[in-house]
Amino acid sequence: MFNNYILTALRNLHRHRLFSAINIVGLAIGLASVILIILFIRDEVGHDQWIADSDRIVRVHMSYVPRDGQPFETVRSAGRISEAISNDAPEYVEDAVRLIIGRSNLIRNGQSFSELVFYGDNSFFNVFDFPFLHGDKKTAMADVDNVVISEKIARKYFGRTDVIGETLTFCCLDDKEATVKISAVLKDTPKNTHFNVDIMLVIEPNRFAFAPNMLDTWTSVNVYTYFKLKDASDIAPFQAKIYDWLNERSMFKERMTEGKVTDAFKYKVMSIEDIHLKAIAHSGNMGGIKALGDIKLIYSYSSIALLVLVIACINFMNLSTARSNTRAREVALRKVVGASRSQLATQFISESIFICLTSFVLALAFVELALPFYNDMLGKQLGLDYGNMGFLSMLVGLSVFVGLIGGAYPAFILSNFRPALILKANQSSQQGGSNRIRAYLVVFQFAASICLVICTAIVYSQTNFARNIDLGYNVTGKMILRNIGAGGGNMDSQALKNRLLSLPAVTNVTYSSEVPSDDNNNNTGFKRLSAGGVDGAMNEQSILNYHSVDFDFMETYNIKTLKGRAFSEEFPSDTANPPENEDEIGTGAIMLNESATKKMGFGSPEEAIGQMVRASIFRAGDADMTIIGVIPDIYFRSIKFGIRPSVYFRRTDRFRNATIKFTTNDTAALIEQVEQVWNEVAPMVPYRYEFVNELIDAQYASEEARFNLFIVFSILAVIVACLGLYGLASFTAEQRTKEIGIRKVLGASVSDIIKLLIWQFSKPVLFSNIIAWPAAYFLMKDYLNTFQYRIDLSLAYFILASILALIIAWITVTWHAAKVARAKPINALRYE
Amino acid sequence: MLKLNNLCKVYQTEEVETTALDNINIDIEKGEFVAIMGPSGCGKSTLLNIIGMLDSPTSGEYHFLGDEIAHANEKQLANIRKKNIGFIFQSFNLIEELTVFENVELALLYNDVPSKERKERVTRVLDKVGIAHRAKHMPSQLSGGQQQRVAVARALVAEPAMILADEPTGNLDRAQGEEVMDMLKKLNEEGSTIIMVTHSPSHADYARRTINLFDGQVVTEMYRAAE
Repeated sequence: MFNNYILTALRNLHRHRLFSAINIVGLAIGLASVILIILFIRDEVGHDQWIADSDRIVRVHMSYVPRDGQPFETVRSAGRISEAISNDAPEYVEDAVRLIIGRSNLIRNGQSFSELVFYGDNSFFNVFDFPFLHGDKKTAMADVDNVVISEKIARKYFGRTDVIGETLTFCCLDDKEATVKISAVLKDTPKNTHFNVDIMLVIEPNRFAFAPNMLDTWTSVNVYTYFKLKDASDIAPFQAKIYDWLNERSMFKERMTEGKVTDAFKYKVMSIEDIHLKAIAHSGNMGGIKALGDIKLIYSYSSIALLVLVIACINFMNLSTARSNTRAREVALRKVVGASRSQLATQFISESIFICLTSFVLALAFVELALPFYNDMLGKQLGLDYGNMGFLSMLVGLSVFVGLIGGAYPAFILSNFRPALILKANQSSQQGGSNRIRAYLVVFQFAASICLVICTAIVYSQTNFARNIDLGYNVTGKMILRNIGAGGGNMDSQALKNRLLSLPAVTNVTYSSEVPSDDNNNNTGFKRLSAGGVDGAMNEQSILNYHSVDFDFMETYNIKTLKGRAFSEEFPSDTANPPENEDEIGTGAIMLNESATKKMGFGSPEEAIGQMVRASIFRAGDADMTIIGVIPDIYFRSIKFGIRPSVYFRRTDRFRNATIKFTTNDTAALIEQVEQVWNEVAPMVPYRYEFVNELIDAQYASEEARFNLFIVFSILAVIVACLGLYGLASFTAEQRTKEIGIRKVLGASVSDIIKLLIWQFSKPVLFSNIIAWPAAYFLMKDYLNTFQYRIDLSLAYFILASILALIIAWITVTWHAAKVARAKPINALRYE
Repeated sequence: MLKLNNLCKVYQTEEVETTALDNINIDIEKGEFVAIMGPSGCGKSTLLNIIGMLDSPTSGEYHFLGDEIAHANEKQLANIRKKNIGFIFQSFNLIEELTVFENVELALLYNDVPSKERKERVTRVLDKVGIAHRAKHMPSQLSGGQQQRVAVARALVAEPAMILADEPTGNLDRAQGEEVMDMLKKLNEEGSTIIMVTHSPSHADYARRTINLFDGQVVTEMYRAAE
């Protein structure tokens, strides 16, 4: 019996090649979209899950809500938290580790390379049980002079991996050149993690003597703190215990003037498995180690992929029921010879599952073809793992499921035919009902497609709008030199500046701690000396982000001063100076952005000028500084992060970057000239340059990639919908052949017939706008609300998308209608 | 009216070449009532389709109202057809989705007749074939004979010079068949040229001339004695 089904199915597929092709290709596109998205989601959701015991490792995130109500959140924590919490909650904590991340120059064979360096407590490998290639976790971090490196770094510097006992020299660790001994080599870790360790040094307090806020502090948040709990179920009670500790037993309790500590200040724990997708919502990922995923993106991609698949399924259902006429006779005869309805239903469902599995194989081919581009867009290394039977059988299961869903309705319709009716007269068994359902389904397909097109257009316009917004500073003609100050005091920054200024193309050179587009997580409390008083309670200071900039920084970037003045060499007091003795207080001047004046409670920028502010910005102690100027809210970071209240002061030891403002178009020559100067002034420090406009562009790159993907899936949805429309049009034309013949005999011209068919298919497309417009309106209203500056939701997007859909539908239908309309009418009317 | 000279129609399929019409020479004058008879497969319908410009001959000449149209293109043929020829089919070929009135109106619609005039003419012609009371019905609600009257009305409404009927009584019972034949005879008497394909010798008797086809050739041509 089953052979008979297969044979019938194959012959039917062959006989109706167009329908078969539309069905199989359309479904394959739908399935391929879903598979690609599943690969993406699996990778995103699987972040950090490969780490041993990932379900019981947590990171603590800090959240501080000052009185003004604007929360300050970061994924970092203070250096003393790890020990304090471990001691307070020994019943939950198995082990804890702090992590500090920075850049350092690795010197090898007279050359220096800038590398990302991790410092961890020697408990690191107890918490993160990474696999070792050489060495073991007991001895890896036993000595402060040990360094653990990854396979990748071993190959890069030694060309081999068995390098235990070899040494690496850094310049600098704690302002001194330091040589450390390789104690272990780690296997390279997968990329889907929130951090990849390549070089791991031991946290040694002396190494951080230059930065006292780093380790021995309750309030300065500069380390990442991880706890390994005894059991995964301990996370909730552990969180409760931390709150209890904060409120009852911590030093924060004494600092609170009223209420509970946790009303203003919290340490929240998050499982590392959740960090990739949920840290942004949880703690804003301020100070995060790398860019994270976004759960919203997962939702929107999944919805689109699902839509493509649903549209393909609808094609499948529509074409199958549409064709039911041609199979009516087969059904009738099978019934006459004794087939039951359920047997027939089984036959048709098996047939559709067979088609789905064929599509699935084709979909795998599509996926393989698409993967290189897809990976390129996402910056991932996704692949189909054919060895993973669980995953593969899940995909096969999905295809069978689609076959069941797509085949159920046609099977119901077909198996319901009454043989007597069909065999008596060679007449149409087409019910009006299934025609109407087909029309509804086409309406749905086009509603989904039009909705996608509208959304794509609006997302594109918003992206474009954000891209062209005034950042508040000039980005062109600016070259950045990194690694300033990396030479450990060996670099004469004044000499470098003078030498660079002597280059003909260079007009300005300025130093700063960060340059526009760099993220920065330097935040500290600033107290108004007139308002809260010097000894004001903890929650009366404003936590502000700060940057160190040189005298001519504002001028170089064309940042206008709203009130007051910019830093100037004419005022020696503009430079921030640390206190000379322990009981003294440092001095300096600050500039604020507009948001910072508001956050500090000034009624207007004028009011702020001349006021004094105290902040703990030096290791030696506090400094009292005068507000000398206010600048507008510039987008120092990417526009998507919005504006932060920020403070600018001139602290020369914090300068890490030089900005060169130049006037030449020959950047290649400039790069070379600057390198020459660099090599003379700082030969032992790697020359690393960038251009500000490129950095700004790069900020949008990942968004553009995501957006492109959005476009691709939208186009796929429209293509699949059109495939279906084409099939349906050709079917309808076939069904109406006789009518078309009669009309032609009566004198209808080719264009009359085309108009007739086009109108038939314009109706559902026009109708679908009724669903598409409100759906797109609500989706996009939500989306645009997430932006501080946004485009208007203009009617034009809706109208244009609908016209586009109509035109596409017309092109699709005309193709076939023209063919049918041109045929000789007699072919249609031959009846014997 | 029309003149066929050495007309041939050959159907070419992958393996066989079938000659449907072989050297046909026929003259039909204006106002004639001609019946074409012959066994199944002799080429009757093919001949009628070529005369009706629904099909083109493989070779030979076809003069219609003085113009040679054997090699005219589809568009030109459609133009001549809609102005000059009305069709009646064995299976009526009414459009199921349209009412009786709309089916008849269709022929005028494609001839760009203004709406008001269309209404008048359709009403008039429906009256003439005696089906006016069913104007708002769908074809499926009518008997075969009634459907064929609608088809006749549709063939007449554009006032064509020539009516082609392809076995117009083939799907009808005896009584209904007679009715349709009486109607055609009346139309002929009023001046319409009618060419009819039929299997029925008694129905062929309504015509003034009968052409017998066999294997694609004209075998006999017979004029009925004047009454």
